[in-house]
Amino acid sequence: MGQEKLSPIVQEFILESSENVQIISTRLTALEKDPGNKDMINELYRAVHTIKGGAGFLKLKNLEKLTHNLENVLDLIRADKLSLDANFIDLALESVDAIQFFVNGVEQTGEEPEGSFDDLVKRLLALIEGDVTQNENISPDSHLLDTSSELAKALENSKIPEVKIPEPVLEQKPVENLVPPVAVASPVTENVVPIQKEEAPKAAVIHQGNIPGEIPSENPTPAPVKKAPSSAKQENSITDSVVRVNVSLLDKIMNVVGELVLTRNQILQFASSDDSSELQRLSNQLNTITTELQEDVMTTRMQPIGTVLTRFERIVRDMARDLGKNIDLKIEGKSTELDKTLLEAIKDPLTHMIRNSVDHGIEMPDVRATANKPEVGTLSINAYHEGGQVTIEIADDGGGISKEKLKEKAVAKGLITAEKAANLSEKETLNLIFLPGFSTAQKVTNISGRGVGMDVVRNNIEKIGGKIEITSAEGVGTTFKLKIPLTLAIIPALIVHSGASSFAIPQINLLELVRAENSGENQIEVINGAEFFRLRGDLIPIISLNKVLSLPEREGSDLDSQNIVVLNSDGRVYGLVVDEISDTVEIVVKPLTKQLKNLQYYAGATIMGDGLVSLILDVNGIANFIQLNVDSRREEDSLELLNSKDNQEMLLFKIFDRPNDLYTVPLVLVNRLEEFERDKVEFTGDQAVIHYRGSAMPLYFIHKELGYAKSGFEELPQVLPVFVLALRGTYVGFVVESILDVANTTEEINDSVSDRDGVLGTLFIREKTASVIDVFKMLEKTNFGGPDFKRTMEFEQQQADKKPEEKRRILIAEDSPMFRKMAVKLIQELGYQTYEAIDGQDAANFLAKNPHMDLIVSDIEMPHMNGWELAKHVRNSDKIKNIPMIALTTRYSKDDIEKGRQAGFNYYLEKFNKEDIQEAISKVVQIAG
Amino acid sequence: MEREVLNTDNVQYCTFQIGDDFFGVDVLKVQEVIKPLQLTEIPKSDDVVCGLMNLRGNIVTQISLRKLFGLKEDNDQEHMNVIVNTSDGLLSLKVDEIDDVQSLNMSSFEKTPDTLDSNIKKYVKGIHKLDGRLLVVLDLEEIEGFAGE
Repeated sequence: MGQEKLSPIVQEFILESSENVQIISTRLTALEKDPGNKDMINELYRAVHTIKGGAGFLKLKNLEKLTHNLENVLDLIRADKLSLDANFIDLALESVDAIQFFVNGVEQTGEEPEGSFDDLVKRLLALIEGDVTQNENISPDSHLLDTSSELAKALENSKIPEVKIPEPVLEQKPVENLVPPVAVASPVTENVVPIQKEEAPKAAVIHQGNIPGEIPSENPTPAPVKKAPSSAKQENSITDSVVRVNVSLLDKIMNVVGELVLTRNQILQFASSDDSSELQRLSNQLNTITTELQEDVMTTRMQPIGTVLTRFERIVRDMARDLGKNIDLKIEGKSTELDKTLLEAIKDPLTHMIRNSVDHGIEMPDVRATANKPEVGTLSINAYHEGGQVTIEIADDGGGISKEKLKEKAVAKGLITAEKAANLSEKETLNLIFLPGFSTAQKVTNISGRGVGMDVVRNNIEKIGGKIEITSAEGVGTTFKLKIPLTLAIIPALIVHSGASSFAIPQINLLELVRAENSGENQIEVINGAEFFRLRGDLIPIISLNKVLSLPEREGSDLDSQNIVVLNSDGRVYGLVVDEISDTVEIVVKPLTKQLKNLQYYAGATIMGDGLVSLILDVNGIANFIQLNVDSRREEDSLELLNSKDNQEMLLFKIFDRPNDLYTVPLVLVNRLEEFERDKVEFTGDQAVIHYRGSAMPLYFIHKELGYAKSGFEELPQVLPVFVLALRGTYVGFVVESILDVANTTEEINDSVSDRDGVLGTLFIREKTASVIDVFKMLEKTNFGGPDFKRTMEFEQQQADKKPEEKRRILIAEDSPMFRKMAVKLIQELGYQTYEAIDGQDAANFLAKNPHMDLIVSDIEMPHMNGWELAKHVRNSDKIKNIPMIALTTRYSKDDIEKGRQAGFNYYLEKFNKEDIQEAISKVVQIAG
Repeated sequence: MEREVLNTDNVQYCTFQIGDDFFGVDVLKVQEVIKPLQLTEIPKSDDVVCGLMNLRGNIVTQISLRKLFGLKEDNDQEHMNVIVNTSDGLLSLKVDEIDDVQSLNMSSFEKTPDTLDSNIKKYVKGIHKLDGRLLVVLDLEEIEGFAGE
């Protein structure tokens, strides 16, 4: 493939001519059935004409001669001088093959191939001659071959149309500057009279260089000029109505209109403060006209996506031929319009994806045949408008993507860990192909593997505010879905105010707006200086825009609530506190100059309705700022870890009297973080309580429960930090000295240093050792839960006294090491022998060897085999089908409970509800025993 | 720089004052000179950057030459803006006062004297010795790229 060596102009010509050849052949076959269709004839004519123009410019003499004569024949047909019969169709189709021959030749060698098709040209001429003879009474045998004399004669008889090249509107662009024009105009017309042939290249240069302005199409055949039929005139008027305009001129017009809009806004403001009704009327009129103008100018920038998509016909055809595949390309929605700049921006990513689909997606014909698929693979591109965006789907019916292979490869390349790979969902697995350094091809071919990966494709799409999705079914095919904004220039944005300035936040990053009260349920919680907000159960980090940008804080004492803009930054959700939230407006994005580029807070600037400049916030840049502030945890806390199943979020805190020790509890246990005033704490007997959410909540002082009660209650500070647990519908508070942070860890609890009651063990977090508090143990000790709780404890004691061999055996299937440890501890307290499995599959394997279990306690969400699958497996296996099963889960909806019951669980219990769990275990085991 | 020293043609400068000193930039780089427009401040930006202004639909970054040269700036003082074309957009230079456009012969052009204030020196191409005073020719590329230092 010599394409790289060809100059861009020649490449353009090849692509364009290939498209035109396609048009010609489809129109010809259609015309055979519908010979009277004038539109089709005109289309045919234009296509031939364009090829001729290009051939003339590139000095492809033989091709030019051929197309010139074909064009003349068509012109006669157009003018009803010649009938469109089978003879003509045959001749024309033969010409199409010849044109294709020339185009292919040029593509391969860069030069016009040998062969003049004299015979074909002769026969075309004969058609023309025959017609001229009839009409002009010129004897047919006198000029069989000599076109020039024939035409020279015609020249005498007719007025020679002149090619008028109007004054360029813009300065002339050099030829290399191949900015395609926006308006799709008719091909540049040059005169067909041979003596003017020198004109042709000149005209073509103009075509390539995009001189804006109109080049009127002239009637190219001299013969019928005298009696030029009305249909030809109409054709002229259609082409006359199209103007080629340089994109840079349109950009300039856009800018000027932008200024006009701003001036209009100012005039409107001025007029509203003036009493003159005439001024009012005129300003309203100006308003309407400006809006209309603005819309019209916007539409001039829109181009049908077909201009990009039709290129792929050739690319797919060529690739399929090279690879020996049969591929049928279907393109729909060619007329869907998109902003010019966006079209340019998606061209390369689309090409890459199409190449990928042809190369890796669609299988070889023999493979397809064995898979019972039609040998011809289908690649379809569909573009359509959807929800203010343009969606482009690229679907192939090929082999699809093997998820297992993807994972293997990602692991082999060290992009993810094997454990993580095992836990990926289908969607996450497919998204692996977007990771930098990933390429799905078994071997890199020169066709799709050009050192560019899908990560580049995704980056390019995201750069223009687009999104890319992938779905794939193995053996069925793969679909890429691109979502592209209609235009880059204008985006919807939310205007917010902070400090004394207003800022724009791109709507695409905006999730929702919430208001946080300064007290009560919807308040912002503070952990070690970093702020969090609980949004429907999720703890999201909060940052104040005033703090980020060092703006003055909002003043006034009536600030009982805060506005939070919830934003999505590449999947990370955070809240941005702003002083005031204003409207959503459409803004024009303008880039910042390089003096400001290093400021990560801004994505650009825009001009507001009042003529002032506002900064556009960079949601991702500000997210980085949060990262620095909250997550001093660095590597430990990468997103990867957060998503990992083994990961535990731990709340770190300090307690009174132990200033050097770090303590922690799993964050999942904690319902809320609060601060209470010491004065508000009351005592009923020895038990401290506080009024909280309408009832008295017991408070436990962790330092006291652990036996460090040096400081008396009166010596404690006035404000007491408390973490609140919700147990059996009531709240319990634990008083600590200070709450430090939330940290992630995958470490297991080391219970060898569980030196005192109430400490589950130690955990190595952030290079320090933290004691894990066993809050349940503390509650037991303090008689929390009443007589029921006591009874369980007595039962526990009985069990604990039994010898190991008498103990009942309980299998615990749980993937999270932390919860597994907790469950083991909880069940061992009841005096049972425990066995551990790390997931459903592990449990099933264990049961195959050790079927004599008294009870299975299982988590629901587990990799490889989840709890439901495990239950079904157990119930369907003869040896173990009677073992009672308890589900221990955080999925605790009605549906889940029902699903669990159906799967074969005897009990379906919420994790951490210790009393219920122990009660259920006792019951089940007793029944079974 | 070498070439410009050798070039004996006349060069036109847009000249202005900052404090007691006279400065000039190549007039071909200057788009226009305007009175102060309302500025939008850019939080967290370099002190030298005064803010952004809307110049008939174009967003222009304004930088203070006084601050760039390490001089004191009085907010209430009257000033003018020299709008110059740079490789990545328009830049507004905040100066004290505008003088004429002067056509000077390159024969009076000299290299930047070593005695020049080191704060200013790196933004200077050279000087023209005129009757009784010096015209300091500014290097717009250096000024434009100050952020990259």
